[in-house]
Amino acid sequence: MVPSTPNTVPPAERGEPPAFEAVYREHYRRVYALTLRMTADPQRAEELTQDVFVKVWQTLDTFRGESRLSTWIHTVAVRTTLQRIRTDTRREARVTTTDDLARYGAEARRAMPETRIDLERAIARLPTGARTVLLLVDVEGHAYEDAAKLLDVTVGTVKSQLHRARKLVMEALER
Amino acid sequence: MSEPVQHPTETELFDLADGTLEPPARAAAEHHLATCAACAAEVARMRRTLDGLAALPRAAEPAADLWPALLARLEAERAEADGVIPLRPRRSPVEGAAPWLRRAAVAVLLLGAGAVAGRMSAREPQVASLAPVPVNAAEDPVLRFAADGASTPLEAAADIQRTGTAFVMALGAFHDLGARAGDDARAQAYEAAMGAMYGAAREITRLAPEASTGSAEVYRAVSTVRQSTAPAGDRPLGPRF
Repeated sequence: MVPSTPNTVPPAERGEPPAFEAVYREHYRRVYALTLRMTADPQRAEELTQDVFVKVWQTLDTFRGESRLSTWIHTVAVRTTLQRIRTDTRREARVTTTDDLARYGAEARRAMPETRIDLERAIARLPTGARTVLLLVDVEGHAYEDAAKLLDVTVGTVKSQLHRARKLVMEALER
Repeated sequence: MSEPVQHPTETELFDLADGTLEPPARAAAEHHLATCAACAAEVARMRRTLDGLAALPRAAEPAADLWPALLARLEAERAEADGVIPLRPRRSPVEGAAPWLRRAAVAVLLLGAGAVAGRMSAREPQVASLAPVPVNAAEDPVLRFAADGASTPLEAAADIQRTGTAFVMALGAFHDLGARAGDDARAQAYEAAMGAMYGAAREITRLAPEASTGSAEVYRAVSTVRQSTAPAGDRPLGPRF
């Protein structure tokens, strides 16, 4: 069994990659759930999960315990994923084809057996901006101000994106 | 006789549903809901959706174990950081000597290798005493080489980091040669030098906390060489980094 990690990780103790496995094992499922929903793309979500933990490992000595480690890792995950989504112009960021949606739905069902697939699919169909805001506020539970800070937008923008996202989700559920 | 009914805006209904509607507007909205079935149904629908979203699982299991690939990336990063660290350009570089030798020489001088306190034990590493060798920087080409450019403790610490890494790589080679020749004295000298490196890193962290990242790099570099050169079955050579 992997022991739970302390709230602060002294630089000297995180120097060896194998020692980092404990941090990874404790937090990877949460990170994968976030990247999976934010990208609606299982393959990219796996790559991003790794990217997130590389970033966490690189910057772990900047974590001073002012928040919980899980909160800090979550922030790194959101920022890393957003950065990737914004710079990735090779593909449509939005799930548009029925194949994509089916593939995402299958992965969501496998990775989160207890989830509501109708909600997952409704979220996956949202435009990227709306989807991100909905995930941060209504799924992950961030306050408007926190979400605005993470996304580098105003609270007003968060609210309008959020309401648009909620409407679209409710419409999708009606179908 | 009756005025047109003022329904709350959709935004207000959403805010009511998620609990962020401010008190004055909230009282008015709730009052309205008591007599308007359509709005009440809409808010109920919104609340059901929000409850569903809030209840979604926040953990998901990837299809495959991602750790092995991640570990490989972390190892590659660490190897890159240890192996290829360009020296900052100097105003008066020492000609002729191989770069790693110059850097190792600087490290020896900076660490006062003659003042090493002794072997490191597995559990309680002794901090090597760092009595700097007094030299005249203006006359000594190697020290002039070292002193040029470093104008802040942070820069100096970064130089030590880079130098230290090259130093331990050279020590690793030294150890290998000694081990192959069955040379115990050389192995002991290697151990003492590693102890000095570790002690130096601890001192840096203590004296210049802002340079602790550099010290972490030295820790890693020391750890790498130690683990790669430790004979099989031996006790661990020092604290686990």
